[in-house]
Amino acid sequence: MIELNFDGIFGRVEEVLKQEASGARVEVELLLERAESLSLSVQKGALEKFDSSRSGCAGFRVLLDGIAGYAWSEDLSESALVATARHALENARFASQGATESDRVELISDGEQVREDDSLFNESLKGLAFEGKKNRALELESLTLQADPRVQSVPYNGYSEVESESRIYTSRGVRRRQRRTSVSGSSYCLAREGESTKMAGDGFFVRDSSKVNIAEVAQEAARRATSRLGATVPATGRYALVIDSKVAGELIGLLAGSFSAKAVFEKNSLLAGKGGEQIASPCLSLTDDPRLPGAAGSRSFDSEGAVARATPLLRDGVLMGYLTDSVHARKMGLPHTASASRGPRSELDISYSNLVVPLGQKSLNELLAGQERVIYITEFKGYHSSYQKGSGDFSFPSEGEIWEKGKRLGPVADFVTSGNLLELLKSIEAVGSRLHRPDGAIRVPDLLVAGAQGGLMVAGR
Amino acid sequence: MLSHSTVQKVLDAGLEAGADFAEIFVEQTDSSELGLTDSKPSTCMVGRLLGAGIRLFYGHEQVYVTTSDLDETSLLEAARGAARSRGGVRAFAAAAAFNKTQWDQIHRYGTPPLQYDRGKKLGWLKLMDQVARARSPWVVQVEPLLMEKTQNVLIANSQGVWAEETRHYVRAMCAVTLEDQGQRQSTHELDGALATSEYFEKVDFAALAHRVVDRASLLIHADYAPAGEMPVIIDSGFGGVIFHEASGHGLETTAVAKNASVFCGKMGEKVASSCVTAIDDGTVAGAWGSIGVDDEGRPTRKTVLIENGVLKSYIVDEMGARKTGYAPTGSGRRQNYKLAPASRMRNTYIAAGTDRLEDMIRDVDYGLYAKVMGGGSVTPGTGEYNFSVQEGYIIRNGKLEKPVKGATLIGRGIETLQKITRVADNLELATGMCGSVSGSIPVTVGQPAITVSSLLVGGRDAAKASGMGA
Repeated sequence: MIELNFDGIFGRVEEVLKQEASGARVEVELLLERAESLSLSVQKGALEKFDSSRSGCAGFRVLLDGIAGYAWSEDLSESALVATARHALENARFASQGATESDRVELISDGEQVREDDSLFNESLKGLAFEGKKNRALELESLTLQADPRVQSVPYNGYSEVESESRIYTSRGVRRRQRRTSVSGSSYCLAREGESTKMAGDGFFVRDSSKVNIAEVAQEAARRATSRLGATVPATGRYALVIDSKVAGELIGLLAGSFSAKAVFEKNSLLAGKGGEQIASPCLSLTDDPRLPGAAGSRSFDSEGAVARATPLLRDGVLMGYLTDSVHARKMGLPHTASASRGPRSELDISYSNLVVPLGQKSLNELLAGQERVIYITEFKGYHSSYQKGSGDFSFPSEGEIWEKGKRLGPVADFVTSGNLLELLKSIEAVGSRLHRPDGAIRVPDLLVAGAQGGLMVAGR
Repeated sequence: MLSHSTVQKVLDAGLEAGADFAEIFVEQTDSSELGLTDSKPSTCMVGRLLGAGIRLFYGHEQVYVTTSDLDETSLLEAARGAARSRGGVRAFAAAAAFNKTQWDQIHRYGTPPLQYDRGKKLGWLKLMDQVARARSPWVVQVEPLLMEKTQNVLIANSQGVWAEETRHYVRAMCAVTLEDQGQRQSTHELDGALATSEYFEKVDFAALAHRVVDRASLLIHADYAPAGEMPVIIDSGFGGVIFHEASGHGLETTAVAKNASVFCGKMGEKVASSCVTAIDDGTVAGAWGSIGVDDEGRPTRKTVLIENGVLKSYIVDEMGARKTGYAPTGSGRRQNYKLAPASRMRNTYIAAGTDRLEDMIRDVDYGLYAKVMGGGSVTPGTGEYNFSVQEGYIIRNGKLEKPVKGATLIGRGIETLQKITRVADNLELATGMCGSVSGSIPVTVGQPAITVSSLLVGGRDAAKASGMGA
């Protein structure tokens, strides 16, 4: 990427804001992100779409006597950055109305040197010529089609590469830089057998281009779609569930925001006031670990520039604590977990990095075989609309397989699984030994959910 | 935003390696968000999006490059990069001379967001906060938010199109969380338009805050919805999400051209009950989903999708037109310059019928009345859709009973369209955001109340399920 003198620009921005603050205390934080990316998709053996982008964005957080104002711009010229910083100062003035002493915050100081995490950047992206990338996109479609004769088409597929760089500059001398590379792709295919039509797929994410395994993803995409063909509707009733590792990760993702101390402080967390309580089954532990080599959510520093570290969230089902930035650690008297998260276009928030549930002992087959009758959930849909984040209640349209006494009876679909996420966590009876994707940001094995009520309510036939 | 000369050079550079079509989309969007949390200013953000997307067609193949650098050298480099990436035989034909696209400017704008009095905006935010908190002792959090955006776009292409438009968007939201006896309930209300800040002067913010608190109060101790198949009456306004999800996405040529829609090959066929006429209209004055020109530079228009149950039109963009042979409908839309346009919905609704809602309820022995809908999603290839009910009521012997929560409706597009048995006379529109291949865009959904003879309701109340014989 082109090297620009942001150190010099940042210094000049600070000077301008100090002059305009009329003696008030001003601190400035600049987040800078630049990225280059390409993506390819194909249809019927020919390139359908090739996208290439080069982007940059600068986001200011300006503290005026400790009250924050924000502004961002994609125009990275010096004049535009100065104007953007002035907007942030003006916003800080606006936000100061009604602010009290306890609302005032400060930037963190540069207490320790932080090295860039080398596992997040890989030179291999440069090693593959455009034709090679195109061939990968073509293979993604052709291998999915070849995997099973019942696969009719692969309407949605894509291969992408991104190289990005993020930087932090602050008035307290913090200077951070992190480069990242990622290679990702997906294949969603339409399978047909008789009157039954199903669509499903799979995807991948790696940092190192040489580790891409197109054949594996294509096989799994085809397997997911074809295994659903001929699905029947299960009878309405209560069922024990084995939740596939991928779906289990999505469920933990729904709860992730509730571990934020900011959400707790603003009364938007399901976990407010539950610190030290048994909120999940004793077989469930969970850690936020930002230092997993190469993982999708890894970071060596957070968005304030603080050194990232692992934080236990659940131990044997007991809520161990919340994720904090420096602001909420101070406001709430909690340990600082360095979980600040913001992009140039957003305000300071708190988020997880990688959420990891330790592997259990039982294989998927053992989890399924241990139940008289069980539905193996392979997909929940409608997360954005059918989950109530205020209460944890959900009613998810679902797909899966029905098993009896360790025998697969067949696929099931067109049913809705309903319950409450916190109640579901308490009803986990076993954690499996298999991960859907060992390199994702949320790593949750297969889960067996039964509990005292015998499982969850399923609406079907 | 750019001179004719620069644009001409960029398009010519894009055509250098044999593309048969070149287009540039230039955008500068200024946005502003103001919000309160805990009764104090919390969200206070302005931003500027700036950049260009250059699109080349080689038959049915599309190349798209973007850059946030708008000087001529960078744009030419991006265009040549796009042309080089495809390679091919040089069959260069220069872009045609530009003709400015004309359309009726029916949307009325006033003061741009950043120039409007912020003190007034703070007043409206505080009004929502105070009214909501006074409405119920169970209110533990109120988060009112005002969002505004001014999008300036220039679209030019090698066929001589030159279109410029300034679009102003305003949106107000009030989100509340209630807590009582260990039960929590969160919900929100939205209002929005293609307009400038003056629109807020006409919004009844107190009524909006009342509505959102009243709904949360109703639901916090409500029973869970029953589970099973039953007749469902979906009321007007955001109830239109059922058509949006069940059918609208499947009518976009983005899906049709891939043969990934249940509506493929059904033009002129009966795909819905005769009482269903459905429209996608970009020309509703001031409506949230309206535009002047689409993001391909074509004047938008009103498109009848289904008339008396018969499929009349798909939703067609430029590439969709190439692939399917149907004429573009002024429906090429994108979130911003970072994404290539695709066929997308605008203001989509089922036209008013002649029935009355009260009569429709009276004629149901046992079923669900979905008064306020939540969001949903669809798999276009199979037509399987789902959406949630925010506020629902059991209907028993033709009368509304207690409210229920936690219901999700699932079904398949064409099957559901054919099960619509009655359409009321109370058409209303409601605002939403729609996410798809070209990003998240403002859309309006709408309908009068409709009766669907049978839908699968996903709830968690087992007793009701057996009681109704499901």
